[in-house]
Amino acid sequence: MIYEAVGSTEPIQQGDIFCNIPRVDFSLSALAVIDEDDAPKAMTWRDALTSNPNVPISAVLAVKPVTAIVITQNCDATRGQTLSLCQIEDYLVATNQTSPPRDAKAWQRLLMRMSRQNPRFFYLPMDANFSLNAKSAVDFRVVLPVPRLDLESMRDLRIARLNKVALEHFREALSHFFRRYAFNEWYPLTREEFTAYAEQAGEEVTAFDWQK
Amino acid sequence: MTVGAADSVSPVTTPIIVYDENLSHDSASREDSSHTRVSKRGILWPQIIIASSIMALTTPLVSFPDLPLSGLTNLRDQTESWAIEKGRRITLREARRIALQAHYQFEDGLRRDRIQEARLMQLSMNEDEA
Repeated sequence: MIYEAVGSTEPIQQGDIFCNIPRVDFSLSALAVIDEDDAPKAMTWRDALTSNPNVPISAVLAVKPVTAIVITQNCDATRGQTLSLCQIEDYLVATNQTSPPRDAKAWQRLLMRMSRQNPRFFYLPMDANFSLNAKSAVDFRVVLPVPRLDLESMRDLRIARLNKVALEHFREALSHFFRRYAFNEWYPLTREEFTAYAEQAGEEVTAFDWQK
Repeated sequence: MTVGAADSVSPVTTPIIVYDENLSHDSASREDSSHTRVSKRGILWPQIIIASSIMALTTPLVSFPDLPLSGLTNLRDQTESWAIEKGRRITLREARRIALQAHYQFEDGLRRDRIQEARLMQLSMNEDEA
């Protein structure tokens, strides 16, 4: 569909999809740090900070292999120390759908609504030819840094690349997500309109002075 | 995971259970029962690593000195002033548990985040239909 095959020697580009990318999970409130005596200690990140910020800290961390897509621009991908990827997740899981749409009509309605209203996810259709056996979504909120040279030596983990059409849309969606700025959309409402808005907002909203 | 394996299974939906064989664990421990529960859910099991330079993950602008790694003496001299006074000593098993707990917290937080997002989307859809 929207993917193309890419040779194992081809440079890494924005839109390349990899499997088994490491996602390192850690908590600043609970870390297992290895001290100079090679013994693990439980502490918070704040406790682990020392007066010498130049000395790195060693810790025991969980690393989960995930499927992910390169978001780093091509010019940076050729020389940067680190590549950035975003995690790819099963579409229904990512969008928290309790059950799959029952037919194509329902699917397209869901996909179109999500793409128009939720910039966080970028839809990836399934394609068994590229080991993408389920409808998936890129989650722009889960960003993974990976050393570029290491990933270049493991290009066999690359399973697909977005084709030209898909890449153009991906680039736009990516840009839009990271260039959004937060604003309180209710600012031009009258007091009565704001009251109605606040009742259905689903989250806490604060009235401006002219709405009180 | 080999390229062949990647061709034959979906990396998105197929659960892969990977164990850190270097860490011994008591099969009767509570930790292992939690492993079983997680495994039955078909969740990709995280590996446990000893991660150095954790600061690089959180503060990418920090530059590190060239620590001479040839010879423990040099390394020890460099880190002599680095003595973590705080924190309690734990076993490697407990360290692994702490690491896995952080993983579960992240997954749980991601799930709650998506639930909240879906609710907001539903509100928006209800409004459109109204």
